Amino acid sequence: MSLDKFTYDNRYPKFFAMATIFWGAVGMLLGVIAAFQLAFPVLNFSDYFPHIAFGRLRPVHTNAVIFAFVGNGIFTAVYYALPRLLKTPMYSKALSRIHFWGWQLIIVLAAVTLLFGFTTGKEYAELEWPIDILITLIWVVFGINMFGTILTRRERHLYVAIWFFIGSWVTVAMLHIVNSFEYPVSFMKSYSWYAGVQDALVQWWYGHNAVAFFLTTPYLGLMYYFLPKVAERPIYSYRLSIVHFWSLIFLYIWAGPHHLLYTALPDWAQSLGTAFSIMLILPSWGGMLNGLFTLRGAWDKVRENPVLKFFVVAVTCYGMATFEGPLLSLKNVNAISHYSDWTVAHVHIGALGWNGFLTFGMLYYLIPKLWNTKLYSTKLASTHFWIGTLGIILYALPMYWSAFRAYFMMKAFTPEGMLQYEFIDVVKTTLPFYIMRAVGGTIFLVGVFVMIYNLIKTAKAGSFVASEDAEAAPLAKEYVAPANSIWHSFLERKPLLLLVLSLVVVGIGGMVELIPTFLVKENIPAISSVKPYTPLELQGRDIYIREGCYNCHSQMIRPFRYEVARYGEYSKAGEFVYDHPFQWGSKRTGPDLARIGGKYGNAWHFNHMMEPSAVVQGSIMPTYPSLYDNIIDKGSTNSKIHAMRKMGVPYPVNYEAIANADLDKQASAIATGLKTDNKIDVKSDKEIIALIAYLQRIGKDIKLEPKTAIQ
Amino acid sequence: MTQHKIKFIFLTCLTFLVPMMAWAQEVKDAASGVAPIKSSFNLDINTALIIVAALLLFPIFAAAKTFIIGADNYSKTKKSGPSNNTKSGLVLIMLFSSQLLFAQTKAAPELISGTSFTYLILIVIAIEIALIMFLSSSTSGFIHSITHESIGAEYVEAPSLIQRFKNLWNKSNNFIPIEEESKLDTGHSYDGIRELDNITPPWFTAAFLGTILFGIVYLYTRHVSHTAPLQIQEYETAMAQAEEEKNAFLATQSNNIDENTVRLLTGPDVEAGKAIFLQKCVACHSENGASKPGGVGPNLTDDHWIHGGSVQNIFASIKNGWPEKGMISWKDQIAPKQMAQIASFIKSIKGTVAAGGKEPQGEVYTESAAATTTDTAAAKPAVADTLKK
Repeated sequence: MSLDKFTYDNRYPKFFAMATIFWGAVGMLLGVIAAFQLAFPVLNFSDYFPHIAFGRLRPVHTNAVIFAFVGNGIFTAVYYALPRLLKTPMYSKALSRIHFWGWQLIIVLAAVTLLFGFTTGKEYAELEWPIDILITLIWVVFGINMFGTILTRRERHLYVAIWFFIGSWVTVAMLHIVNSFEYPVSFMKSYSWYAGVQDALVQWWYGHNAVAFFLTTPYLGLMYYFLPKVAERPIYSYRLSIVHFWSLIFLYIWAGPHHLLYTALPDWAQSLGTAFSIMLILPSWGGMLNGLFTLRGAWDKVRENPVLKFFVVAVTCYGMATFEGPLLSLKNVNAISHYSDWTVAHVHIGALGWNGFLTFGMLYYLIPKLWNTKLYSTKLASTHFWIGTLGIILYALPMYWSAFRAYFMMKAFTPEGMLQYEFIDVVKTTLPFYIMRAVGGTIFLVGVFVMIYNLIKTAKAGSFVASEDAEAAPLAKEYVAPANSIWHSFLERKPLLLLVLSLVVVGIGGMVELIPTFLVKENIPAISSVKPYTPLELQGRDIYIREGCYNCHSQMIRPFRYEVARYGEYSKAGEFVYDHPFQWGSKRTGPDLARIGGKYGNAWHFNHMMEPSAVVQGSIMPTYPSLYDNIIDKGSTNSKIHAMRKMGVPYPVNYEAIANADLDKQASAIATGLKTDNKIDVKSDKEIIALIAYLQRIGKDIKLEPKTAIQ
Repeated sequence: MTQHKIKFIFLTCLTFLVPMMAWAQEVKDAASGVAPIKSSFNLDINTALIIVAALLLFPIFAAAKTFIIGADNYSKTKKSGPSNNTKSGLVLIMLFSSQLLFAQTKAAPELISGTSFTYLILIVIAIEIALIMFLSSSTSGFIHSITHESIGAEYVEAPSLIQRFKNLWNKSNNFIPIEEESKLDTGHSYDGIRELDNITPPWFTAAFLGTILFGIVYLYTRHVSHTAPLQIQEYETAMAQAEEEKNAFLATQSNNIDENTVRLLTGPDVEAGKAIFLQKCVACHSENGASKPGGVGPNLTDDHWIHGGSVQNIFASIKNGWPEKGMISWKDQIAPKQMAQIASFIKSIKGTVAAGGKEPQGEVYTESAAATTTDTAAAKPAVADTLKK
């Protein structure tokens, strides 16, 4: 049989690898800055400009490390491994180019728009609708390029790494599209299509599975290619691959509600989240076992080869994080960890350990290969390994410690039945831990710069191999499977069937959880006194979203004695029916705000937003001087009201016509009140007035409910 | 091989199941919370466990017997061996003590709650199993060495602890020696990556089944049998319990002060009031109590009072607040005694700040009226008057 001759294009793996390194350094640097901002609020520089205050910077950090660093890492692996596993070049050079530059454009747009306050207010999906559409298009380009390659392959069966790439691609597409349903108000402003509890469920179905299908499954694919390559060992168990691939993608999708335990989410959905998270332990561990057992007989190499060192720690961190995750999904553990630094520690074990170290290992292997040379310094790589490991430990330990201290302080009561500590006492206690964490993060980042130096030196020593020649026999038209082949090998020959089947498998969990929450009314018991926001409050709410307040403040009081005593009556599902998007938050660096309405006077908020630490001594909240200069964007009121009504918020018909008049009336009442009661001079058209109006409304409606309605 | 695997899986499932039953029991107890329901299941599991513990005594007895015989034989063949008397003595002590422990727990159920009793029996069973394993492995060690010596073979050193763990590890993963792995080669080669087809480690399969079982039990107890509490039930139980504890404590304290009974306190109470003031009140009233021009709270050091300046008035303001003016109600966060201390402290700082405070607000309150404010009957209308405004 004649052999086909073809070449592997090494340029795109190179581009993606360079982008991975660049965005990795940028994203982690932003993380370090954000960490120091928590410890030293002056670093928010909000007296000069509002763009890099923590509430805006943190989303840029998370988006950068997830979609820019890990995203480009995934593409590096796919563009390098896929052609080699299938013995064919990538399908289309044009699509590769569009994919690469399109993705980098998305990243730049994301960073700029987020810093300028354009955000949907949904964690890890903050980007506004035009960028969402762009992401969808580029993702489709990537998909066509990947499937084109698969369909023109010269290898009959698909290797396990490719199953993971396929499963990840189709699931991310599903998650992104469903969660990004939003109603555009203007060019860079939209409201989530879903509200309250439903929005929360969709968001965390997405958020959890962004971790699963963006940070985990594609990286398992990466591991399945690079780990056996570097160790020069066969994969330990083919059947374990089959078992853990299918069980992992099936079970993962169900676990989203474990981000909403003890919230107003219906009990049954929470229980599903817990039960399926526990079932997820072993499928996750299947990946770890297959990785570690593949190293059987190669452990002597691990001692010498820094690439394998990185891989071993990455896979171990993966095992730890996927064991800790299910534990955090047990409700009694979650009661401690939710809203706390524990969650932050947990995700960073996964992000720094699993994603970070696996990427570093891949780069240390790939760069010398692409430049046809040896790694400049194995010793420096080993140094990076130890610096990185130290960084992870110094990052995680203070966070665990601070979470537990905070928990015990939060729930402490005096014998008289009064809370023992103010929230600010907890903040002061956790402050030293924030400093330690920032130092840990810095150390990790230093390791990255050591790597960059090493890799640049390596590339300079070699010469880039733009294309590699290869040859392989074309696939015969006819194929008869050997009699002893197992059922699964049939699927490995049918990529489109594998794609459809993956979609079906991941679709089940989502549908079982989402559809009843949307259709069954009992899941969200109505509260008659809950009314839509006034135009001024709505504008204030958009300021709240723009400044990213949800990054530090939750709006969801859990049914615990110590939360009810501290914040007020626990939150009910019916209170959020007009919240497009929901703002429950996931972290309490500051106190919960679900019942802030009416707790303090307007003057308190006025002074507090100007200089938080002057009102609450020891506060680490940034100042917001720009709110006192900015004018409320009244031009958008009409379209906002209109969009809300289109999505079912019961504003009267043609309310748009008088909305701004109502807004003015409410605003001047607040300004006048501040003037007469507190001698504060402020014009009624400033943003601070709208924000005060919104804060004073949160969680108040339920108190107006007729008493007889209770029970 | 497969038989071994099935056995292993079965045993692991069992070990998962037993603590889970105990746990389910605990959850059940918690669920019943306020009004405990005594279920027959409660008795069943403990009785069952006692029976298991009792039955385990027979193999212990048998194993101990065999051990002693083995030790005797061993010392006969190897004269210079360690005194077997001490060894068999040791075994007898262990046997005895475990029985003692058992007898104790058996007598105890009335004293210990159902849950901790369940755990106690589980510990006893665990000790018993450990004992059996120890006895049987030592006995087989004797037999092993005796047979080797009797056939004149060289004495084989027993494997070290690390080696034993390695063996256990290899066995539990069903590892095959690396030299034989080519037998498991699937023949796949993807860009040079080969694949073996090792079976999934038995403990993996067992633990996976165990977690699925957990999921089923978890959902069943919460949404089918309703034996485990949902979050609002948990909350109500916790609140009721906290209320009870609080009342029990307050009954021992002279803490039931209200705006009618409050009296001006002195000395350490004023100091205590100051400490709380510095913690809770300074945000609006400043550290010296005088607030600032344009500040949120009124000046507490001047003669002017918006809502009355008697200790009773101040106590009432702290307790109920004036929410529309920004003064929150503190009654859920500060105990009555402490509110009396704060009110007394506020009375003590009158006139301490000459300048820099907030401008006067409200009416002048003179201490001449104080004569009447100590009269509780007079304090009431004063509060009522301000409410009308």
